[in-house]
Amino acid sequence: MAGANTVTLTDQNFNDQVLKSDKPVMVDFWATWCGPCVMAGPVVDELADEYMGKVVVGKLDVDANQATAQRYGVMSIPTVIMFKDGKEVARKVGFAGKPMYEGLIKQVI
Amino acid sequence: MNKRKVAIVGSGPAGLAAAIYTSRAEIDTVVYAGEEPGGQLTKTTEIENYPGVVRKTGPELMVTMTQQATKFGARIEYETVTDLDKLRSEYDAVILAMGASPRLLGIGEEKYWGKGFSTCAVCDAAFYKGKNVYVVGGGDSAIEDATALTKFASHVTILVRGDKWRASVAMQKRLENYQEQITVMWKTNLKEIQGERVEKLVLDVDGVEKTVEAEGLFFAIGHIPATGFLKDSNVELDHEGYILTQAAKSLQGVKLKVEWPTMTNVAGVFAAGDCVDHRYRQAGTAVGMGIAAALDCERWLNFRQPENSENRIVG
Repeated sequence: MAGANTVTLTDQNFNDQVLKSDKPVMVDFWATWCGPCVMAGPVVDELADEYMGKVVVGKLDVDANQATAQRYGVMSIPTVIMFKDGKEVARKVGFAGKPMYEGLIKQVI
Repeated sequence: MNKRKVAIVGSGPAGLAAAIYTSRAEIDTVVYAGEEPGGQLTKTTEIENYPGVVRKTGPELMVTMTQQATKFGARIEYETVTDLDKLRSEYDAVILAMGASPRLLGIGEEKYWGKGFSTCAVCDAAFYKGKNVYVVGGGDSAIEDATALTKFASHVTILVRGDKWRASVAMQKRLENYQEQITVMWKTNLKEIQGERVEKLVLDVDGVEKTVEAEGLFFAIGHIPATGFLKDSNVELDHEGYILTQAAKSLQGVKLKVEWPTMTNVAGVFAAGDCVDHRYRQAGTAVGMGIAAALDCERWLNFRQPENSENRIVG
């Protein structure tokens, strides 16, 4: 389900890909059975393309990676969390359009 | 020749059906997908009553409709329209198909989004493994949500305001299989949510106040038309906020010559789906209205621009 520039995140690679990343990382918590997540997926891929090199954009399937979803208290999806220097700096629960996600990115670049 | 351009506001069944027709008629079509791409069907499970589709999930159906529209050249913009006049200045015609959004109670529930409160049980049920949850509502979607939650939650209680279901008989029957897992409380109003996250609910049970422990809260109390941004426009709405098309006005008994049934009182602005229809509210009826709006729109554009009449498609 991920675009060419979207990183597939897992419980295993989350530390290296997100927390140790030298660039800000936008993480989309989603699942195959979440309709709004599936429909919003292409937007996340578009942002991954448009901000390539400035921000890492990744998707984490909460079903397959429950430990990470739990660690960040994700209780509703889609949830997008912006990480910078290994820390959560912004979070948006529910999809509210591309400009809103873009706003999260602009906060950190 | 200037290419005719249409903006479609909304990406549910009505908007995408309209987009399939306008883009296939070679009208330059942009769909503004809004805050909930795919619309309400993306929050459902199985679709069994959409003709020609024996069984599919709501999201699957909407992904297919989106692909069908983009195949003919419609573009999807993941933005939310807030200014109709600006849109009208950029396009030759507009089709409004924003649908409806979940109704809230206004008891401060917004601050519990993602903290135990949700209006999409189908989306969020899996986060409530072994938890004690409540569903507010008495219609089909309340039962749909409650049964979806039983797969994960330890127990589900449905809070019904009245003393009987508004839900269809078929949905009430479905409930019979869940007698162990689902409790129904009648004549019950939710008054207050307490806690850092959802922890306690203050209820009014037939006039008696009662506080219960809760770990999750889901609303299924219907929808309101997503027409808020039209309040400052000239588009005529009824007292509940539904858009009044020529056909809708005529159905209300207003005598007028219905020239373009799906057109609003503003020339070149059409409307379809749940933002117009408070009666049927089905994916199938929304699709029908979307197609009607697209055909009216196409003919209106041709009628308005006789220099393009050689492109006119009949029927």
